[in-house]
Amino acid sequence: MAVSENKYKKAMNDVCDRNFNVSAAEMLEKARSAPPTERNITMTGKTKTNIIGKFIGAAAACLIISGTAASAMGYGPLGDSFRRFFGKDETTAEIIDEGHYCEVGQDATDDGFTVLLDSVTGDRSSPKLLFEVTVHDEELAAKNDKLRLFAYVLDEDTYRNRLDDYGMWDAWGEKDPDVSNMYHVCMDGPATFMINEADVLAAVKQISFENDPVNRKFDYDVDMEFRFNVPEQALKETAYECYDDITISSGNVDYELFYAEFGAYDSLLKVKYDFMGTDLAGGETDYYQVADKFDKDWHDLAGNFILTVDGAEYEPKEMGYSYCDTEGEAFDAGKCSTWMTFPSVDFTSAESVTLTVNEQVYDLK
Amino acid sequence: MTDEKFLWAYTEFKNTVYSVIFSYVRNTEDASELSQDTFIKLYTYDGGFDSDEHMKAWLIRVAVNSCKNHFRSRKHISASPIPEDLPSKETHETDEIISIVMKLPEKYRIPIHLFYYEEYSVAEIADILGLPEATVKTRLKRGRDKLKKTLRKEDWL
Repeated sequence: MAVSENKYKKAMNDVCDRNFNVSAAEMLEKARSAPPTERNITMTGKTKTNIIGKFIGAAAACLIISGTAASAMGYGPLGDSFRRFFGKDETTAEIIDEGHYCEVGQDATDDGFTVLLDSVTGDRSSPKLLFEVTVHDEELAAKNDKLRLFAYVLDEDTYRNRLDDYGMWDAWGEKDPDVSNMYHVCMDGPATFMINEADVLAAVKQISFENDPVNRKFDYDVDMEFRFNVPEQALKETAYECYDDITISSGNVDYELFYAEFGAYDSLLKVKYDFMGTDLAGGETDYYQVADKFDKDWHDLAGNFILTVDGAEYEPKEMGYSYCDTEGEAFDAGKCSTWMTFPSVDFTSAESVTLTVNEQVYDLK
Repeated sequence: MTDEKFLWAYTEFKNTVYSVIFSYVRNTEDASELSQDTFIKLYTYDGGFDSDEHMKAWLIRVAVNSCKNHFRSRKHISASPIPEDLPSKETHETDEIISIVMKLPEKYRIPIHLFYYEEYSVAEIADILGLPEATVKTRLKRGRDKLKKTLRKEDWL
């Protein structure tokens, strides 16, 4: 049977026709009035320099230097060099200032690129990998103010044997203000594989560009592996709490708060619940047939949560969508889970942390 | 790009762009917005294309990148996020097919979409998604296996 006649295609065309109604003339008008994206780029031809590592000098495989010690040794404020390239991420810059930082300093080269895994920083909830990418084709670099790096970040065993179960992490990198073919990339990494002084494998697999008028490839395959260990001090402490006695009811669902994580970037609360037997499920046993109802219930409830830390009140940042563990891989089979975040708070120093929901107050500390 | 060429490209590839974005974000409003962004990028793109197929592949790649950025900006980290406004069964008979395909995890859903909607080969899908061909084959197979649990083949092919 010709695929072009398949029902899926017909149904999808129907979705397009019903929901995307911008006419060609309207689209042209919008495109004409859009601000230009291309910017003039000046080639300077400077050679590659190390971003932050240069402040440390010829270091051991991984150095941990407190901000105070670094200043005393004349290395200057490490966070400031981070701010130069990642100015919007003040949280990470402050973490580096506090001394949670580890230089890796490994590089790899192929015909097209040199990739340096400069360092690891962040906190134990959200570790970050700082890369520096040099594009050998200066014409390609001249056409792109940013590039995108894709990498697996795992342990060796998972990389060798269970890669298909994991996706790649990716991040955009901005061009160095002084070096025309160098980009700086701050990529989130998986806490699961990067805490507890684990041996980590970061395998960079792809570098992509938005503009590639010469080669017309856009996505360049690379194969560069970096093996390193993340010392405990390199990542800022995150406070973890487990609970087994806090149940918050929406009237439809009883949500059990079972885990909280108070990191430098945000505060995460996780809840789990049974869906079968609830009126909301209506007898349905396949969770994903009714998940949208449960997500709505959670969002309606969680939107009213207030996190109070020593009298200061915080409103929710984000509310998650649900995941149902049908096989018991993550927790009890049949249990569903969802999450929400609040702004970062200092849980460790706080004397009192409470969660208020519809006038009910739950003690988290 | 000339206005004439842009108008042609929009008419020709409008559904290609919208459908692949919808397959990612599963939300008609976001899909509409991201589709328009994709065509704006086409209009302002200063490179050339070898062929119409090349332009189509470029549009899909830009659309896919936009979707990934979209999720990243929303920190959309759920293992299986649920579409907010999938068409309901009441609105259209054929929507059941869409609804079921859209409930697949993303890693199966997108290769399935590109294979059955765009009629791309495994090699072409691998190229667009930046994945090894073996991975695409595996994902297509697993995606089909999951669909078989819900749909008979003749119900959607």
